[in-house]
Amino acid sequence: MNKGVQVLAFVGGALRRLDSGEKGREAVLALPLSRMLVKMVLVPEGADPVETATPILKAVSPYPDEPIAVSCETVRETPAGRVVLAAALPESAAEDIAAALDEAKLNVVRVDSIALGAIRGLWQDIGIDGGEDRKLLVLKSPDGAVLVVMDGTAPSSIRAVADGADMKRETMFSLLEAEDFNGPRPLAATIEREIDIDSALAGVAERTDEVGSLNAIPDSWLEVLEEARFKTKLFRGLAVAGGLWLLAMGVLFGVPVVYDFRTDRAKDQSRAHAKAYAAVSEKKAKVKLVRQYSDHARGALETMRAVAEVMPAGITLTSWEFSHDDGLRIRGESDDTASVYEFKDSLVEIGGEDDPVFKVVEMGQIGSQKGGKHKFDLDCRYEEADE
Amino acid sequence: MNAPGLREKAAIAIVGVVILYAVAVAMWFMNAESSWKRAAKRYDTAAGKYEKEKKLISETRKWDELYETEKAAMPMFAAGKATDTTWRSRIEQLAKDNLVQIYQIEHGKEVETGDVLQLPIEIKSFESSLEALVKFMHALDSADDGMFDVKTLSVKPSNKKGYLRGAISLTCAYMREE
Repeated sequence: MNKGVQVLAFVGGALRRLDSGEKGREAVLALPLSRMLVKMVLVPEGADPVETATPILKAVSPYPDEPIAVSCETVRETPAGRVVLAAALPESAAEDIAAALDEAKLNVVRVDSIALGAIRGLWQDIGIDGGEDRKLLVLKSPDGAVLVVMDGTAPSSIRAVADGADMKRETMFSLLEAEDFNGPRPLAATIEREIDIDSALAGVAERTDEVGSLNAIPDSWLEVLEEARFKTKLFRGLAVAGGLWLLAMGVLFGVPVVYDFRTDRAKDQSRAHAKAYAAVSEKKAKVKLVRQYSDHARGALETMRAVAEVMPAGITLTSWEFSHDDGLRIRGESDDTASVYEFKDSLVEIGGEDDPVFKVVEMGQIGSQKGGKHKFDLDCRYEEADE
Repeated sequence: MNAPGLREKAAIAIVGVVILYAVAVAMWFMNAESSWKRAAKRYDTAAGKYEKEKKLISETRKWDELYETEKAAMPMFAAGKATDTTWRSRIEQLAKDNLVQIYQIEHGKEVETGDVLQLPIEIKSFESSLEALVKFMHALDSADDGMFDVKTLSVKPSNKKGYLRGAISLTCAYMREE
C-alpha cells in the first residue's frame, strides 16, 4: 500500500482508523455491506464485467436515477463465464460518510467492504484451508449482519441482513444464490463471528495491495481525489518556486547586507585598536621626520651631484630651484636642441627604471636667442610615495 | 461571468510566479551588480584599512627601536634654552669656513612635532662659487653637532663672474631634555 495512505472504516456512524502510524490525507475506506450495492454477477465470456453488472446493481439501487460507478472483483472462472463480485456506492447513500471525511480532511482512494476485510482476517479462524467445502459465515457488527456463503476460499454469495430481518429466509436466499453461481453442495458448517474492526481493517489493507480487488469509489469522490492531488502538486510546485524566489531575493538583497555587516565589524575592530594604532603611527611619523635630517639620499647636494653627472657638454644652467618636497626646476642655455633632449632623457633615467629619482620630467618651450643659443627649462618632480 | 476554476487559478498562479521570477531577474541585473560592487568596495576599504593598521601595530617594537636609534643622533638642549643663536652662529660658521658669503639670514618660529623640535632658518641671500656652495652643503649634511635639512635652494649666476647668488631655506632639528 502506498506510503501515507491510512486505512479506516465507517462504523456506527463514525470513522475508525487502523493504527498503522500513517498520517497522510489519503485513505482506503471500508464500509459496512449495508451501505453498498453488492451482487454476485455471472459475466459471459467476452463481456465487459462492469457493463454487465451495472444494470443489475442499478436495478437494486434505491436511487435508480443516480449514476453509479461499478467495480468488479473476479471471484471464480466457470465454464459459463466469470463470476464477479460487483459493488457500487451510491453517493446519495454516503452523504454522512462524505461529511465525516470532509471533517477529517481525508480523501478516499479506494472503497472496500468491511466484511471482505473481515473474511481475510478470519481465514484461519474459520478453517478455510483450501478445500471446496461450502460454509456459511454469519458476520455480525453494529451495522447489521452479513451472510457470506464460502465455497473454499471464494464467496458464492454475499448479502447484508438488516436488523429485524428474517434470518432463516435470508440464509435460504444466500444458499440459493450460491447454488446459482457454483452449483448445489451440502453445507459443511455455519460459522458465526463478531467482526473485529481492527482485524477487518488489516484485511482491507492487505486487499488494497492486491491487483483486481474491489474499489467502489464513486466518480465524484474520484474527482475530488484527483483535484486534491492536483492541488497538492500545485501547492508543492508553487512552494518550491516561491522558495527559490525567496532564496534568490535573499541572496540579492542579503549579500550587500552581509557586506555591510562585515564592513561594520571591520570598522569596529579598527576602532578597538585605534589607540594602539595612533601610538605606532605617531612613532612612525617621528622616525620619518628624523630621517629627513639623517638621510640625504634625495637632498639638495645629492640631487645636484646626480644632475651634474648626466648633464651633457654644451649646456649652461642659468637657474637652479630645488625643493626638498617637490623636486627641481632648472633653466639653462644650450648650443643645440639635441643636447637639451639628451639632458631631459638622462634626467628621467637617474636612479634607473625601478627607482627613478624623478617620477616626472617635463620640458618647457625651447626658445632661440641671439648668438645661436637655445633657452630651455625642465621641471623635475619627485612625487615621493608616502612611505 | 463564471468564477475561475482550479486549473485557471493554477495557470494564473504559475504566470504570477513566472512574472515574479522575471521581476527578480530584472532587478538582479539592474540593481544587484552596482549594489554588490558598492558594498564590496566599502568592505574592501574598511578591511584593507584594518589590515594595514593591524600590520603597523604588529611592527610597534620595530618602530620603537628605530625611533630610539634615530633619537640618539639628535642634538639635545636643556629645557627652556633658546636655540636660535646657537643654530644661526653654527650655520654662519660653516658658511665662513667654506667661503660662502651670507648677506641676509633670519630664523622663524620653533615648530614642535612630538618631542622633536624644528627651527626654520632662511638664508635669504648668499654669494659663493659653485665649489664653495657644494662644500657648504656637504658640511651641513655631515655636521656632527647638528641636524640640518635643506628645504629649498635657489641659485643663479651672480654679476660677479664665476660666482653664484641665491637663497637657502633649511630647518634644524633637535630635542629638549625633559
